[in-house]
Amino acid sequence: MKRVGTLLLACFALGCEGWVGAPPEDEVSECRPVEIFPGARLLTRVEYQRTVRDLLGEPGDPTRDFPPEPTVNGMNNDARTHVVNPLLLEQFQSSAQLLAQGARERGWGRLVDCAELGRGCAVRFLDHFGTRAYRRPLTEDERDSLLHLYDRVEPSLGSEDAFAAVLEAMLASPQFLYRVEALRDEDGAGAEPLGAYELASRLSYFLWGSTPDDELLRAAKDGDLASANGLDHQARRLLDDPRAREQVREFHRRWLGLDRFTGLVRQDGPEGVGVSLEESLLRFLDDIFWNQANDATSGTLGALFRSPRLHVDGAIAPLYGVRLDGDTAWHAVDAPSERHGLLTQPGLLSLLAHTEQSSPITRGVFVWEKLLCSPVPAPPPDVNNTPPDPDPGLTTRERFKVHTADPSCASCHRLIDPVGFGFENYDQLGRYRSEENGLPVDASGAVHDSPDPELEGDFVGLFELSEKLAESRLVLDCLTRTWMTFALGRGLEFRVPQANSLPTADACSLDDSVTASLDQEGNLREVLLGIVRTPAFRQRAAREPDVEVTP
Amino acid sequence: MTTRFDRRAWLKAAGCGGLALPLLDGARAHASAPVAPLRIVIVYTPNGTVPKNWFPVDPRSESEFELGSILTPLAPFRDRLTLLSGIDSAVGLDPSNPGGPHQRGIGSLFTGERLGAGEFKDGCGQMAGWPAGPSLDQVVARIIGEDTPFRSLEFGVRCYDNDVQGRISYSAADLPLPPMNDPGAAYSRLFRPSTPIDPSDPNGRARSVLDAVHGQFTALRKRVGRDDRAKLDAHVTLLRDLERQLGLGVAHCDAPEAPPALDPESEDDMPLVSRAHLDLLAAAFACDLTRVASLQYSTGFNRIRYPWLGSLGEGHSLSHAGESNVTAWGELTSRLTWHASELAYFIDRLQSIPEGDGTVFDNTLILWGSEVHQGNTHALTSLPYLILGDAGGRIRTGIHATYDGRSNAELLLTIARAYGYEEPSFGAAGFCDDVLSGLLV
Repeated sequence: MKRVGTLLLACFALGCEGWVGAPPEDEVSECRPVEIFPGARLLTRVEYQRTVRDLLGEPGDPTRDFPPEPTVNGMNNDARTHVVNPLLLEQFQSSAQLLAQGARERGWGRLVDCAELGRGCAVRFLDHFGTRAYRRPLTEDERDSLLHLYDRVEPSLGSEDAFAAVLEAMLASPQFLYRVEALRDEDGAGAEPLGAYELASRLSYFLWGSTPDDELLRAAKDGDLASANGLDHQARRLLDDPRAREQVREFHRRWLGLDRFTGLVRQDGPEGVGVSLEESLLRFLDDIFWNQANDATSGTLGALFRSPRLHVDGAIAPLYGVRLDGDTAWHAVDAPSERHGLLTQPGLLSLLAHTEQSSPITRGVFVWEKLLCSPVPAPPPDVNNTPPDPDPGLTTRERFKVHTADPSCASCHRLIDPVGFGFENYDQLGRYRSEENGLPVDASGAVHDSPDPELEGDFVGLFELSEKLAESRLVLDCLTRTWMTFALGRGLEFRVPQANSLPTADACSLDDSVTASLDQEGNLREVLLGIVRTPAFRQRAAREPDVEVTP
Repeated sequence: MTTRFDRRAWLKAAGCGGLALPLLDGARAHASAPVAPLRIVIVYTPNGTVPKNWFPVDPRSESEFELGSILTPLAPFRDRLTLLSGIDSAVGLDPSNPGGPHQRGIGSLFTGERLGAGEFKDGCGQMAGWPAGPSLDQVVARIIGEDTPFRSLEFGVRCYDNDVQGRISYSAADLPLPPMNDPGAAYSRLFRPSTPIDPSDPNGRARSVLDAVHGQFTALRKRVGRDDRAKLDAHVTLLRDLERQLGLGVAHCDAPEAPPALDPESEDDMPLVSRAHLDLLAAAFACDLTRVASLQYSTGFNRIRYPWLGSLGEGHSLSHAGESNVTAWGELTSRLTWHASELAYFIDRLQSIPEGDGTVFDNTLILWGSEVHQGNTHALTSLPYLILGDAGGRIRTGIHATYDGRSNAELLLTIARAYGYEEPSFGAAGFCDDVLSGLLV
């Protein structure tokens, strides 16, 4: 499993400077180093909101009108494309102002422990609060410039206003707005390792989508994160915090594209049905992820595809035959005859549907792209892809048959449709049906040309398809890739210069993370803990010296 | 909702005669500006057009033609519009360009640019990045947008795709400008009092905070590598733009009534959102908050419906219907006719704002376009472009200008010329030889 020792050799051969970020316990992998990558990552809306909440106790959401981040690989934290624009900058500036006002109103005593406000207290504020806001101790330059601001404002406006001015400046500064990695010494010489503080931020923004807390900053300061055990201990601590639950939800939203629930309209669905359907799906996923019983209902990849659990509130219960007798709260019920894991969840099924009918194509494509990470080729641009009008004399399956009848469509649709047809027991709201238009539903399907031979072959309905997926290493591999993309905020790199080159660090890291989970029966939490241990997460390649001569 | 801006009253008060300038704090007003300010708006609607109801059928000559049924709401402005046939996305047709047809079409629609490599997925799996250069509105903004608090405004109606399909405005390569979908947020951005920078007080609070922020940038900048430095520098540039904006002071302009609370994601509110945006844009022009705007209605892969028209198909799917599908093409026609009526409403609003001897519309040009010719072919030839207004008499109108497959970059160059753009070319190299003949006055 471990690929020890040859890394430095390989690295020298490639002419790079070697790893930065000491691998715990001298384990190194026989892998190509991580690509040089921008180290300045702008906070996303979610990260910003949680960061100011955890830092300042800000109760509101200042990011309500922030423009959304670009969507790349389904995620919104891509370091290359998520860059500042005029609208976002305006929002950063006015938000900094409002947050500083809010902090002032709540009182400085919450953020700094001083007998009285004054210059000495300002110094203390920068040492303590500053370290939390910048996620590392301030440099001398940074400290001086902020104290200078204090000195400019205090004489005319007083210390309360001067504190607010300093806080506002910090919140509008790149040290706060960006997570910056690979800083060099203040004199610009030499590359630093991915420092302990940088790793602390990677960890907290991966598992919380928020800023490191005091304990994590302490661990960084004391060098705890340099050991595998120390890092793992902190990762587990973070996962046990309620903030991790929010972040897992955020991942699920991105992975499954839940943005599309906004304004969702489905025939027979009450107005605003999308809100309940999204929550129902998220509750199902929470249950699987957090309940660590490792049985058929929770904890593992197997449970994700097998759980009979269904979450309903008063608005959607009647759609799925659940009687709540006027109770509007959320309830979890087991519906083993109709529900068997993620694929049978009403939320997912209605998302993957048209307004008035199911969509075998969208559902088939979902399985290939999101569960197998094997996108199917595009249709020709001039093809007519209007869903056939619902015809009372036919089933959906019969209406979509044209795909496999037309040879130009058949090459791809022989992959997509037989998977999608397996979903036909569920309509546009994910209601179970055994008949459509008075005709029996045929939910037989097949997986053709799968990269995983275990998945190959015929199946009938989602119960059988789910059983195949639950046992597939390819599915765990795909889910882990998606988590890694989320964790690293960049596309993964699997390409190598030559066929016989070493695998990339991303490839090795993926492999290690999947194995970590498989060692625990496909436990989903272990996927995250595994990712934290990988070189892709802990390290970054050194840059070439790139020192600017200051004029 | 309808607030009329009587610019004449302000101008009288300012003693500016017929000159169209709002009153401003500080040293902003140009005492001797000789002409009224020019303005430009670009508008996008998705999935092409229904050609037989858009392009004139059997036109008798350049100026003798019947408007297609889609454009009937614009009939009152027939002499103020120019229909264009035969303008292709030449760069989009170039096979070396990455991405799917919707991506290449919208990416080049107002930029004339190819797409960079990237990881945005077309609905059909092709991958591409952002366009490799700025859009027309932003090129023009560099010329006419520097004297207003906002160099430009970007509004959207149900634009959800946060990738190349969801953007039409680019300030430079890889730098899209996101649209605001929520009129309420747009209203408070435009009319909320901001903290101006008082140039007479170099130690004022706002100035001091900004100086400290610059100090933080400087401290960080010397410790990061090349790529990150570029990122930080881009941030500082935008910060300086904002400072310029804050230093301009605020126009003495009565804020219009705030728009009603609307859900920008609701299909039922969509027509109200559209109207609110158009009202805000008209107000922003009247108050000279900006002279440049873009308005994007949804995106190529949209699934939106237009229930107030009784059109319940999902947009992108609907546009794939074959011509024999009379119902689908009827729905598409009614949607486009609705879009034309929205623009007619906007022109009415602009005509209600006096400026000089005429109205704001006289000094405005609106360019409406879509990313493909028609939805079910995805053809990038003869894109449905329509010019409304003549930018202060600089563009010929009242005509149907037909070309035999000229590059859209040349159309963009021609319009930019009307605003004083002097570069010889627009967009990607090799796809823009000259301005289009017969358009510039």
